[in-house]
Amino acid sequence: MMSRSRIAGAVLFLAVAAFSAAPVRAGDAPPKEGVAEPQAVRALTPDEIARQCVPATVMLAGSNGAATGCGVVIHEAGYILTANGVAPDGGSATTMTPKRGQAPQPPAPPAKKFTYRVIARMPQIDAALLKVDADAALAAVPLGWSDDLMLGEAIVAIGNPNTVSAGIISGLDHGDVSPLALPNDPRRGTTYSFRKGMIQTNTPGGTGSFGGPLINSVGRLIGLIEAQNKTRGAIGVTLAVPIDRVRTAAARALSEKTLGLRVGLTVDPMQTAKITAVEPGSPAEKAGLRAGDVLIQAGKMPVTDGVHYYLALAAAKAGEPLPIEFQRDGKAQSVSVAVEKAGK
Amino acid sequence: MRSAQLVPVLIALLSWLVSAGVPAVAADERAAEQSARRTPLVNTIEHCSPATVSIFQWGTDLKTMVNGSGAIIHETGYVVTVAHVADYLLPNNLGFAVLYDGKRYPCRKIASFPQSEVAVVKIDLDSPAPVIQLGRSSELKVSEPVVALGNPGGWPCTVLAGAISRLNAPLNAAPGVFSPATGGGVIEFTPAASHGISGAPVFTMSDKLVGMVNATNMRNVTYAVPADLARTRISQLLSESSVGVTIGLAVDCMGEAKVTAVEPGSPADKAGLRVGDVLTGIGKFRISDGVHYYLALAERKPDERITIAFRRGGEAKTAELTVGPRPSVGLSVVKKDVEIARVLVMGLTPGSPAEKAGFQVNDVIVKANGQELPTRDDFIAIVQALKPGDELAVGVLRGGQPQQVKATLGKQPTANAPFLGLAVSTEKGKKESRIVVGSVAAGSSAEKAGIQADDVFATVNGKAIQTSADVIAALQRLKIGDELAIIVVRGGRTKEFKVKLDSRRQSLAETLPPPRPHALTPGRPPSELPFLGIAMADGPEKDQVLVDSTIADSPAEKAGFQHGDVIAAIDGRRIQTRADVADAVRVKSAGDTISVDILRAGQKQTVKVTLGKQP
Repeated sequence: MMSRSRIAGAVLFLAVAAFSAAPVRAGDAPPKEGVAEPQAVRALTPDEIARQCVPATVMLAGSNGAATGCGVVIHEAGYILTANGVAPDGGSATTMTPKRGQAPQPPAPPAKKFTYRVIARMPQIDAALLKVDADAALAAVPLGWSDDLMLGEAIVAIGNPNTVSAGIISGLDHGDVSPLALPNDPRRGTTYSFRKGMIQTNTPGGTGSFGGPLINSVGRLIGLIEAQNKTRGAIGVTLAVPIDRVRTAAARALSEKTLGLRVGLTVDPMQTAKITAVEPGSPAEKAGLRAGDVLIQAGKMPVTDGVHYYLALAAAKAGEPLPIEFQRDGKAQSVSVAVEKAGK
Repeated sequence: MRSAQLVPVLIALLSWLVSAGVPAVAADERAAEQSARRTPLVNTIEHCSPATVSIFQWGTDLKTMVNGSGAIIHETGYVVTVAHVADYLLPNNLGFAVLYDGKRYPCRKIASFPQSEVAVVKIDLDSPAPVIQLGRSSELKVSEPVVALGNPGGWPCTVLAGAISRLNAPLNAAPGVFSPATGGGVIEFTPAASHGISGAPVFTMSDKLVGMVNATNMRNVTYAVPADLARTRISQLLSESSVGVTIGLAVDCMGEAKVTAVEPGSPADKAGLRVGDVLTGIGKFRISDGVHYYLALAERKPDERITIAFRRGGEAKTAELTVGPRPSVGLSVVKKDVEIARVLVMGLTPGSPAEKAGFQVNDVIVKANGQELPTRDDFIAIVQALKPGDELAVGVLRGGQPQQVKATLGKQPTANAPFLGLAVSTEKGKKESRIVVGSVAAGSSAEKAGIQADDVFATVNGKAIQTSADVIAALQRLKIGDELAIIVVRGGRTKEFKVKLDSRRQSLAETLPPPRPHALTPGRPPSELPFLGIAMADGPEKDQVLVDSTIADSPAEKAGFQHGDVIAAIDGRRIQTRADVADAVRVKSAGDTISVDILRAGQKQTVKVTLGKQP
């Protein structure tokens, strides 16, 4: 009697401990089957961020070999985000090898050069999605969010070749032209309507850094380095496209409609991979998927973020089954969705 | 029995935990991440940014804008900034301030002290504003982290974070902007700033304002006017004599509003205020810092009845008094480079009376037979009026030293006319810094006496005037009805005026331009801005704008814009740059229809687009 009660108490204690440690550190493997890694969230040092994220940054070059800019691997299967302007068709991506002092534990694989394919171009936000075919999983930077950024918070920008700049967010909702500049104002440079609502940092930026990652202090990707402020007299100002725009644009660029596929799933690109709606009568509904299910794997790709689902969708083909592994009520399940051609 | 009941409870708890696992992660994790990302700097910015303002003024061509930054130091809308920002604010009343929430308000300059780069601007608010606390720059330490919040390029709330690199720095990076000789040292801190951040408040990590950005060397450092200097200058700019009222209080401007002196017989003395009392308010104007007292003073008028709230020994008290008038001459004093026309000895005839008397070449003639500062013509006329054998007493400056020369005039060889043998000329184009009358108030006693602007001060009540402090000293301790003897130099002649001290006609509050009605269109929230949805590119030909791409589901996509369309005109206005397109759209609202003339494959077409809302 007595001993059983003691055991029960111990189990309760363990359960509470596991719950309190539920928020995992960014960059770690996602919790599977509810097993959370007991590690508290803490801000990383620029050095730690460099160790994690330099191997996930790629240098881009055109087909003639001339360096164009940077990109960042956002999925281990070889998906790369970059600025549209620095990703010419048929170029190459070379992974960065951390220099001495940035050596990660365990050591990162040596630099590899890949030829990339352009999966989607998003000119309205000056971003592009590239895919390289790697035989092993690549180091990737987990996606973050840009709607809760705080002025003054610490960030790290990684550029080409292999430069790491630590700084802070020095402005939110900024652009490269004064919002009050009138026509014929000499302060007016080139105007892109999308260059509003940008993240401004105090890190040095240069053409070689365009498309490179902007990473927050918990190691999440919060923006793509885009441009330097061209306003006359602006000093030490770099602008980045906020990641939330990239999330939305990627989901739009890789939507079922754009890809010409019919699955019937709505996954919120702003969140972890949770199904928000299932179209009645769609292949997904027929396969038994329901709103609220959390995706774990789609096709051959592990899915930990809403955007990952859209990447998996880009790899799917009409007429072929798309195996989907998901979690419902704490239990992992898997189904196969018969992907149809759109318009059927 | 108890444990048997516990087991199902535990199972339920565990299964809830497991099921809560993944979906709960998102919200919990993000909250935990955000608190991990929070740093002291983030907290300071969050705390201080609502009280930062951007100050704008349209250029006279109404095409360009100048902008600067400032910080609200009192809830009624008083902003502290640097003088070169406040001096943008022309009397044309077109300047405005943009607050942190994006709303625009009219604003006007209250006072500025250009030599020390300190100024006070008032925003006409309709509700109490968030404020920041003034700190003490004397407490700063080198390498202490600081953050400046300004609006370079018009982008609100831009962060400039760094550390103090030098205190009492000489400012040689931007000559003319700030004169260390008049204001002491400035604060230097590490990152360089961009244009438009001038006036931006500099905060310590304890959220106190310690300076205002006034210059940068454009490479690695930024300079700021120290808060202590701002405190001193505000107390001078808005002193009782500057404002034109008499209360009779001296209040410490470096900390809490402690009374340091009470003028005997003044309204404050009669109302019972004593040294050591800590002021907490005047009427509804709350005072929590000595500087606030001087801001409250700016709004006072003679004969106004006010209630002063104060603390004495922990006890809250009030005193009622009537603001008294201030004796006033009605002129301002400025230091100015004025052209001094000096009469010089150019040459001497050998053996002439002038040579015998001891004149030397380059002597400056300052007096001739009692006439002060004669011109060349005056001097010649004086000599001509004399007869041969008469005495001529001339005061000269020789090497800066006054000398007296006495000559006995001879006779011209050909006529019975006086002969001196001295060639004189006027030295022109030479400028010297002098204390002059800046302006004369309309209806003032100075104006009645006939004093004019640009008269150069010579003496006031017999005392020679070398600096503006001399004038202020001469005017001190005078009462209404006292008479002043002012000698000025005008057009090379000295003039004497008798000025009877009047009570000040207008206080500062009455001379300020009246607040403008809130006629400005408030800044539109982004959700109300119109949205077209095209990405543009420059065309192959000059002044040609192309459609590069359209945003999915945007009004432009729905209207059928295609890659390569040349945008020729919008609503009949010719389009030459991408900025033209932005301007044509920006003035519209969501729901408005615009007509766009395009060239597609050489064919002119007109496309009607109904603008949407920003996504």
